[in-house]
Amino acid sequence: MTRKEFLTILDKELKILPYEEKIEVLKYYEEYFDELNLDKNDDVPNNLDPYKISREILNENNIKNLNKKNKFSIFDNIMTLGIAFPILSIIFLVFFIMIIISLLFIYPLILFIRYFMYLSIDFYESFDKVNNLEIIKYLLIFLIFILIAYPIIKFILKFIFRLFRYFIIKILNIKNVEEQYVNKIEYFEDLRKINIDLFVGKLIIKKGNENSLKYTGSYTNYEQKNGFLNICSVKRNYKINRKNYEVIEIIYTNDNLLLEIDKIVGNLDMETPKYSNISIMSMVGKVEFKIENDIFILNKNIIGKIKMDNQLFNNNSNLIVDIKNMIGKIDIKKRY
Amino acid sequence: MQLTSDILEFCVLANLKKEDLYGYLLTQKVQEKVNISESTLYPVLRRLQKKGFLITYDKSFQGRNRRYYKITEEGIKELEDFIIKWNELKKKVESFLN
Repeated sequence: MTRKEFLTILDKELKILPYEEKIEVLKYYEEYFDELNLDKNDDVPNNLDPYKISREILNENNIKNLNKKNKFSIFDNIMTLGIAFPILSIIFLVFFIMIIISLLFIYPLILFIRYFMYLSIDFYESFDKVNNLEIIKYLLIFLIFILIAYPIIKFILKFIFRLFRYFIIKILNIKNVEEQYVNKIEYFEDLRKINIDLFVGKLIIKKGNENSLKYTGSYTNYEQKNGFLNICSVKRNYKINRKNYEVIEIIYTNDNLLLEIDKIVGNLDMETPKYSNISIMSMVGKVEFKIENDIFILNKNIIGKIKMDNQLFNNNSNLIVDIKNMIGKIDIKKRY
Repeated sequence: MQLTSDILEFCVLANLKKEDLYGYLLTQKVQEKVNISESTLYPVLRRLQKKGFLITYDKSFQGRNRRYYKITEEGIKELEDFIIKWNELKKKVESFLN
């Protein structure tokens, strides 16, 4: 294993450790290899095992590495395929049921309409051919049918919606918890990096005069330390309505701000800094970047579209955006 | 026979009581005497630091950084306690073996 490989593995394995702590670990081994005069591509000593080291460090931090890892890897797969598949299949199911429902209507409709056929030929003549009472009879049948069908259709649609919600809850492992609605604002001295493990809701990032975070919602935790901001939604509730929709509004002052997002479901609305690396692992929703000069965007798996002016794209841009998996829309605009 | 990491902690503390050392040199010193895997030493240092038995300071050497580890008052106290307990344990175990 080369020095570079060793450090990459260590970096990856310690992903769930707070950023500063992870850097400390990496620094130690960088220093160690410097003492050994190892170059990037030189082999590290055989008895150095990055997996063993990370396991020991994580055990100590009381982080159940394995459990968390399994949970997250499942989540990652779901994000790309797992969510897309049930959503698509449920949309097809809805259309299928709609078609069947509409078929049910066609027969009484035909029964009703066919008596008006004669009307178009000759109004007075038609009265000879059609019994007036018969028209009223079929009209009533049609109305009664609608009256009966309406609650049934309502019930079916409700059932489909419940089914849909049930699957979403199962997939995201959401628990229905009693929640408290919080509304607070916090100011930081320094803000250099934002790290988002998981966020469900609306995230607004703006440039301003003071580093601050405004939060309205109930199930997102955040922590700020030495310019590093960590955000993670914990208790997820499926009842996302206007009242408990999570909104985080971050204002930063630095020209240099890093943003690392692991999983986000919802909206991201961002005024980008001058120099930045933005990486998004998995996202479902809509992104809007308001950029200052130009942008370099890398993307891997996107279901959706990117809306951008070609002039804004620049290979040597100071703003690098890397999006791995995404379902949704990306909108890139110039700020001024 | 491999040392358990608790005992290794005290080997590290004993080494650092004599002088402040940086990561690489400390590993060398410990390895000279006991057979440990290089992987285990950093987690041990980290743990000791979290318990407050060690502090660190940086010193540059030939343009690069060396992080030195220094034992604290608490660390010295802990080590002294351990030495007493260790001697008791040693006597007991020896009485069985002889």
